[in-house]
Amino acid sequence: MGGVLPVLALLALVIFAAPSAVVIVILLLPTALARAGDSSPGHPLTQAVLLFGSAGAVPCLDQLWHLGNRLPEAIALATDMHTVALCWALQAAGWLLGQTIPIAIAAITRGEIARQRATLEQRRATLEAEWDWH
Amino acid sequence: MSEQRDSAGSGLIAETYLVDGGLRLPGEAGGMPAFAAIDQRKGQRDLMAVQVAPDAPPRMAAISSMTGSVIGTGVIGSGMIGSGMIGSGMGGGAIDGVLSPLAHGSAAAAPPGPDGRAALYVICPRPSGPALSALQAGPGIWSEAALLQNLVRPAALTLARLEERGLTHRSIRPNNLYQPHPGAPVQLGCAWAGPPALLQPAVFEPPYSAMCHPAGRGDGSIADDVYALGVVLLSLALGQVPLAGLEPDDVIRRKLELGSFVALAGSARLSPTIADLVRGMLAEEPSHRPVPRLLADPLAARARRVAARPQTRAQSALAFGSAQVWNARSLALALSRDPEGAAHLLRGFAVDLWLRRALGDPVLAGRVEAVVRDPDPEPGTRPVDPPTIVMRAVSVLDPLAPLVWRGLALFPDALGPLLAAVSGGQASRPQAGMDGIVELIEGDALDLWTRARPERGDPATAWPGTVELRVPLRAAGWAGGPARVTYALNPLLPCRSALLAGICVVRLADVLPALERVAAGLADPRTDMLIDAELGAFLAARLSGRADADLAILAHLDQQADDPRGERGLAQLRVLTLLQGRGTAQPAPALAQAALRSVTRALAAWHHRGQRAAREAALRQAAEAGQLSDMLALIEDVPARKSAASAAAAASAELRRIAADLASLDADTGLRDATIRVSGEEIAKAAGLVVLVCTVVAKVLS
Repeated sequence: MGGVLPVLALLALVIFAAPSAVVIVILLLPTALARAGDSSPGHPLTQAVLLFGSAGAVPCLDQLWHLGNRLPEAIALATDMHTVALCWALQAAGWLLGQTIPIAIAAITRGEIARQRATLEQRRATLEAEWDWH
Repeated sequence: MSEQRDSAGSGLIAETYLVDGGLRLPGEAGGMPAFAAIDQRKGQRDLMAVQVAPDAPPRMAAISSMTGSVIGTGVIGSGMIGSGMIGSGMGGGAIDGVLSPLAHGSAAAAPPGPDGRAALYVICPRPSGPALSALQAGPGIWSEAALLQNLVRPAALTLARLEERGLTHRSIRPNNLYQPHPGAPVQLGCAWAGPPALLQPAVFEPPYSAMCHPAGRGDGSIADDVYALGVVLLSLALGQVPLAGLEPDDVIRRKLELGSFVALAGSARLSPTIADLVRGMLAEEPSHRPVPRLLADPLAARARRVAARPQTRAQSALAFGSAQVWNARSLALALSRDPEGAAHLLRGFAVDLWLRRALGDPVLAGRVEAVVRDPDPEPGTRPVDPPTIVMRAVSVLDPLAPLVWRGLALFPDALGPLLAAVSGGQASRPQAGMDGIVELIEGDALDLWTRARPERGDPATAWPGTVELRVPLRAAGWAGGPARVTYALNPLLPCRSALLAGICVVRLADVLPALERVAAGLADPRTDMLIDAELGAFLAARLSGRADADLAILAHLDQQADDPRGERGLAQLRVLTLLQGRGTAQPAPALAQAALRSVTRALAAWHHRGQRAAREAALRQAAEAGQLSDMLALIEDVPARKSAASAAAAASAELRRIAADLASLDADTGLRDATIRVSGEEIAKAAGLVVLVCTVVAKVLS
């Protein structure tokens, strides 16, 4: 079901709003790529990329709909390098954030654990030096 | 008085008396070793120091009565340890006519005893003349007037004075009676440096006393002294000691067969006065003998005659072993000498048959039969006990006989000296003898013996009481057992512990100085063993149970080679501190150093290294000062121990918590990584959402 609904939504979009569909397909192509490479449950990375991509696509769709939502304008917008580059860059940033934030958090966590371990071991050494239970 | 000089040293007793070990005085102490002594305060030189045998303690009651309160103890001079009494104070002082004790004690430089250990001495005046035994070789037979004026009257007056004090002499014999010159009244010798009647030959003792173990004769009564005086009177009247050359058992048997007067005087020609006096003085029944006050007037004493029923002689003898028995008293003696044969004979009812048929005494036969059939007069189901049968049968056959138990004859008031002698090896079979005495105390034989002779109420039957003796006998560890009872019943018995290295220790106050001296001479000053079983028994007796718990611990730990927690050292320290608190409170640095190592182990209870090190340092300081109580206080500081224990518990809990925290840091790393990854992705999504919302809002607003 998870893969059928987007396809059905896309088909409905192509049938009933083909210009918007052209813009969305072109602009959110990186999201589709990200989805293809994202095998984790719930596809959280894809979702992050999609959200960033949506942020780039929304102004284009708004502009398309102001221009009458016709196919030539849609093609013009979808082939505008500036627009496409901005949208794809946003999706790349989303993908990058999804990749780097866990690494950063892991690094910070490990540092904190090492600090705690050092503190505990120092306290243990102090106690063992002060007390003798033999 | 002859004197011998040798190269031995000299010593001080009771800080007063110098013992001249080089000047021996043979024949001046009734056969006991004696040396010249000098009162250094008064310059009095006519004194002697009578050496006490190792296992024969002096008579404390008599010494206390004649010398007064116990004084003077501890380290005297350079390394001499002494204790003693001086003749003034609570007691009634010296008694005229007898060599009264002045002090007792030991001195390191005085001649040692036969066992090589420092000996105990009793100081008393030297006799005013030679012993009668020495005189007898010369003048021979005494006249009747001389006997009455110079022997009977002065000796009786002296005995009367002793009786007033509740004392007996019990050593009246020719070699312990002295006369300054012919025609002078005799003087009674020293009788205080050993158990009563210890050295009395059988002929000078009533047969019932003579049949006892030499240390088991007891203080007896003044009538026993009258008996001995009667034998001396007879000896001087005859010019010789009667029955000389006979074995003691033959003397006793002869006295019991014939009666003492007939056995000793026989057909000798005596003046009627002397014969009447001697007959009265040698009466078998003590109450029939003239009392000393009466004897002081010999003519009046002669007139007093008490009819005594003569012993019935059987028509035929009873053969028992190698003996031929002719009357009940002789039978009692024979049974007491062979307890196993006696039990067999009694159980076969041969005795009551002989009593009924040959002796013609059915009443006595019935009583003996009752004893055999029911050894316990109280209703009960106790099994028949052969020693009890023999003991009760002997006392039924002869109510005057001593208590007989497994071949050992004694009067109960001599239990203390007898224990000292038997435990010191002065018996044919010491272990069997000791077992027998323990059995005597543990059982009810003493009570039965007293009940079996209700007609006898004389002081000879007085005894400490088995109940009082059972408590120390049964106490746990070193605080109990025969050794403790021995010391409890012999207040002047020196401690036999090998740890004391031959130092004579009689009183509690002498223990710590002696141990300090021993510790000071140790090659290894840090030894674990400061109290052994023998010293433990001595301390238990002298401390009257105040150290029993610690002595029980020491006995328990003695089975273990190591003392890792210092329990032995701590128990020893508690006992030694008790001694230091009771004595002169002199510091004992050598002893404290000796105790230090084992005691330091007890500081293991302080788990905090810093606190323990501080306490160890303080402990070393107290040990150097010789203050045992300070050492104990440092170890047994209860509030500090509690505080240290709670701190240790808290620290231990904290360590456990740290270990748990460290373990949790290493646990579930996979879950943690997954969480981190999800968190990162959620953050990325959140960022995307924020950007989207911002874009939409911006678009709407524009």
